Amino acid sequence: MTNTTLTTAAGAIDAVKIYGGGDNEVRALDGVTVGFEQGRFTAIMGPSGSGKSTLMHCLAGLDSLTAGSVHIGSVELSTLKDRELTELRRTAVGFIFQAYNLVPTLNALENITLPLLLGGSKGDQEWIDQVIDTVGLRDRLKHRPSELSGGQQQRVAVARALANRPTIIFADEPTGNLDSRTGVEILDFMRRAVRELGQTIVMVTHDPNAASYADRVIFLADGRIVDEMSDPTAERVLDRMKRFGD
Amino acid sequence: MLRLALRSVLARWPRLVLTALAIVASTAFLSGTFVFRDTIERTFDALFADTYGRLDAYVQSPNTVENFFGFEERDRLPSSLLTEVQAVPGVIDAQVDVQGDAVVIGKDGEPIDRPTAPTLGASLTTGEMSVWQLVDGRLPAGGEEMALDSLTAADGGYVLGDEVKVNGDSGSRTFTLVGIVEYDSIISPGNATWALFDPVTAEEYIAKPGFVDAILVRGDGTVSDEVLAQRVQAALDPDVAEVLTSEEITAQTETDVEKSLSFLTVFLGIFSLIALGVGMFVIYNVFSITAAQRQRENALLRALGATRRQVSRSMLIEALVIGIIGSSLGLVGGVALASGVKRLLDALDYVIPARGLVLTQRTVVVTLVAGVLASLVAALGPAIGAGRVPPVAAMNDAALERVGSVRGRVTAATVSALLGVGAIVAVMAGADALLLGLGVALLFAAVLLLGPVLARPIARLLGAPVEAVRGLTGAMARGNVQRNPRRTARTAAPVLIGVALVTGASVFAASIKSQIRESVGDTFAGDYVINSTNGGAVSIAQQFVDELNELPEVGVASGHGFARVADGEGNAALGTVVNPATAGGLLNVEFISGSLAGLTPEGVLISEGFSDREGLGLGDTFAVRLDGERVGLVVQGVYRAKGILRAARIYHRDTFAGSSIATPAGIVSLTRAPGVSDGEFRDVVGAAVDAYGIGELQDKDQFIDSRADIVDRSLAFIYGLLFLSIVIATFGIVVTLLLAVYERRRETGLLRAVGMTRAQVRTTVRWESVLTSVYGAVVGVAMGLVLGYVVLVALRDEGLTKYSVPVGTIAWIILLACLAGVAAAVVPAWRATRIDILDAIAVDG
Repeated sequence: MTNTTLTTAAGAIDAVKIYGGGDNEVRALDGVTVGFEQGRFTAIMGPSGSGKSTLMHCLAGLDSLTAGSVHIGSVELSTLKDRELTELRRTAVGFIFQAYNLVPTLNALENITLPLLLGGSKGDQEWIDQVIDTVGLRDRLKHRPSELSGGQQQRVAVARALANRPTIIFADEPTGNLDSRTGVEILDFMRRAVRELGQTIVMVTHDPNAASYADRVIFLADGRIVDEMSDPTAERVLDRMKRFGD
Repeated sequence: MLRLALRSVLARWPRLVLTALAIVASTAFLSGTFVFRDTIERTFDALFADTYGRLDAYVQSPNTVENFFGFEERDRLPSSLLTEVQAVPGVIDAQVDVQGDAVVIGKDGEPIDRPTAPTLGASLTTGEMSVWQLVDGRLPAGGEEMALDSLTAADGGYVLGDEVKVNGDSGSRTFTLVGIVEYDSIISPGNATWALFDPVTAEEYIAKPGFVDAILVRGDGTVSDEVLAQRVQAALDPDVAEVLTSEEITAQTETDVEKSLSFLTVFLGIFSLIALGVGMFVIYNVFSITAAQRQRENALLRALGATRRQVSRSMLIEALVIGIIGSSLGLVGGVALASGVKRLLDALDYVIPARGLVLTQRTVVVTLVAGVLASLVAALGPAIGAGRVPPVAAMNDAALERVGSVRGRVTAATVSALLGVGAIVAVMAGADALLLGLGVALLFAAVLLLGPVLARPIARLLGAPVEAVRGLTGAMARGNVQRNPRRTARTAAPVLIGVALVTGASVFAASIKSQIRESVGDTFAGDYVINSTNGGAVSIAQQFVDELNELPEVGVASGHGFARVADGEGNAALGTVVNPATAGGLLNVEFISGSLAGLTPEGVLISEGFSDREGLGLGDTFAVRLDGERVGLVVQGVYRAKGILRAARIYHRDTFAGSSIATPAGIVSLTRAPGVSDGEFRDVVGAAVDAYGIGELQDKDQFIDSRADIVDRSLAFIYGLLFLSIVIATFGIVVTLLLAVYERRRETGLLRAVGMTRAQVRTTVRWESVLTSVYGAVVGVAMGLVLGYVVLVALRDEGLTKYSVPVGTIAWIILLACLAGVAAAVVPAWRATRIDILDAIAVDG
């Protein structure tokens, strides 16, 4: 429950991802080596096309690398077959997407426990109750996504990411679709998940304000890590981002 | 995960029910066929069990002749056996049984007949073996008297004491009505009309003098049926008569019933399967679209850790639900359909004895299994595809269906087409006709494979006039049809299949009709024909033809009949029966040797093909089997078989004089005597025909028309069944359009926002629908033309050489496809106009 144990929850070594071929070749990742320590909240930042989403997709096992390796916990992803990768996503990885990405036909509780339902396990009821109370959705559990506000939907998405106590949670622009007040609420909640529940979160964002909630910020440009910052503030991040414009 | 899938099913139930409709119709048809068949079978089984339950033994001829479609016709029995049977110890009663065809002529001079029911003449059995109960008058006795069933008497307006004209194969005769009978609670079994006589009269008038159909035996109760039957058999020559117990004859009749019904079941079953296949295409299409629309949701599930199998399985569960809903509704619909058909038949006076509909376990199982399997198999491809969606697709907005490799498609289609053509060419060159089915299936496969490639250019071509006429909305409809050619091809495929089959059937019909016109015209040399068709199974007696020849207005009249005669080995074949004395100038036969006039009762004329096959030449002996005896006939001529003289043998009518084979004339052809006008001829001969009872006087053109019309009548049924497929295909278009409208709600909202009217939205959807169905119809017609040709080629040995394209019918089919398109668009177009503009634009993904 402390952030002093610096075991890595996930990481990449010399990750290269190339899209297309010949003249159309795009090097989305160009030799990225990075580690994410357990129990920390890391933000990945960079201008559009810097490869931050690609990095996240590859780290999460949603996409495969052209060269190099990624691991989650002690598992090397490139060696896994689809079935094992699926199993890993279900048990060790949580996702929070920009669009809330809830299953419209399921109610809030079912969406939260979806990864558990998929695995056929009941999960840790005490933990799930704790998560539900933390996100404050107790009275909304029987509602369908269409009956929830944007903020509530995103809170369901966060709760879902936490439900199976994953090794690591990836968040892709989690506040992108929310008004600033609701966004702050979600970010605050994510930080509490790290501090109080000991979760590990990696968040891709372009919002310096959002990044300021993280313990550490990694800056990406043209598929390479160009800078890193600990205990960021919105101003310092914004300053650093401005320099990309040069 | 099951819960997740069921949730998904519940949330989308309206769409599922709509999709389920695609198999409701076909499974309803399937189960309706079974229910109807079982009901009829049980009814007739009960009827025969009752009829034969009154006997202890039954004597019949051991010889049968194979008839059409594998049915058997049993020879008659010498009536002289009766006294031998009566003398057997233990026999308390034995009576002859005669059953044949006889038409009762109403007081208006028209035959009394009921659609699809036989017109029967029979002996009226008496005593405990009789199925008949006298309700009025007395039993007929002697050659002047008869009885009628009460329904026929009522139809003809006949009361006791009336003179009733009856037509049998042996001629027209008038009897005094002395009795009215009923069969237990059923007024007229099988809805037939029954003319009943005493046994001697029935033998002489209905059968042939000296011959009866069976001898009914009742024992005195001292021995078992088996022993009684053995005793009777011991008294009779086993080559002439075989004896069955009551139980055996019941079983034999039930087998016959089953056989004739299985023919009906197979025939209707084929159409159910075609309809089911079309329904499968609809389901396949809906699932493909659904998989595309739900790609993001499925990717999300994959990203969250659902295995491929789980994603596929959840779609298959939906298919399962659709199959269960669809086939359950189909089962209910089938029972309703059968009960509707039964009620309709009741209303048409086709009295099926009052017994409930029979719903067997087999019907339920077969219907449910067929519906569920069809649904699952149809959804399998899309479901597997859905499982393959990359998890990363959850992050992207793109929700496009994968467009497979065009080259692969073209290659597969080409290979399939080449194999198909190869199979067809092989059949043309003499290979087994079974290959033909494979060839046709391969061609269909090729066209369906090529669909996505064809859809775009054909839609562009068909859409051009629409665009020219309707402007912007036309252009948008055209664009929408071209937008996803795979989907368009899939949606149109059921229409294509249905239309191809209907077109194929109509080409076949038109070709047969022109064949008939030509061959009938070629073969008949007379000016007029007396057609016995309105007499049902009864033909015109040779005696009446002889009378016609006495009339001064008639040049020559000659009757031609057909008889199925077994050869020495017992293999039956159809032969033409003529009167050589008169046939000469009335039938055009091309002789290689011999002539019609040279044919004697001891001889036979054979076709060139038959001569070659059997190695029979002029002067050789060809044996036929008459009442179990081999009779040698001398080959007196060889002719070229064609037209209605296609049968391989021509017999002299007197060859059968002493046998049980009746040789009435199915058709009488006549010439006018010199100097007699058409009017005079019609007056005199027409009056003679009216006086006779059955038959219709026609000139040669009318006769040719009436022959050709028979084809239309028999095809009307097939058309009706095939249109069922087109109706199901239309359902498919409705579902697809609804999905498309839903998919494009954002786009439609935008268009409405910038000023498109509701009417314009409707027009766009409607034209998209029409273009899709017409695309299917046009390709279907092309396929149908090929199909019809292929079937004709397969049957060329049957003398079919014509190939006619029924242009009018095809125009109707395409028009119908347009209308189906318009009808299919009604609900989706309405839904499109209901899209809320603001909502649509604000909608996310």
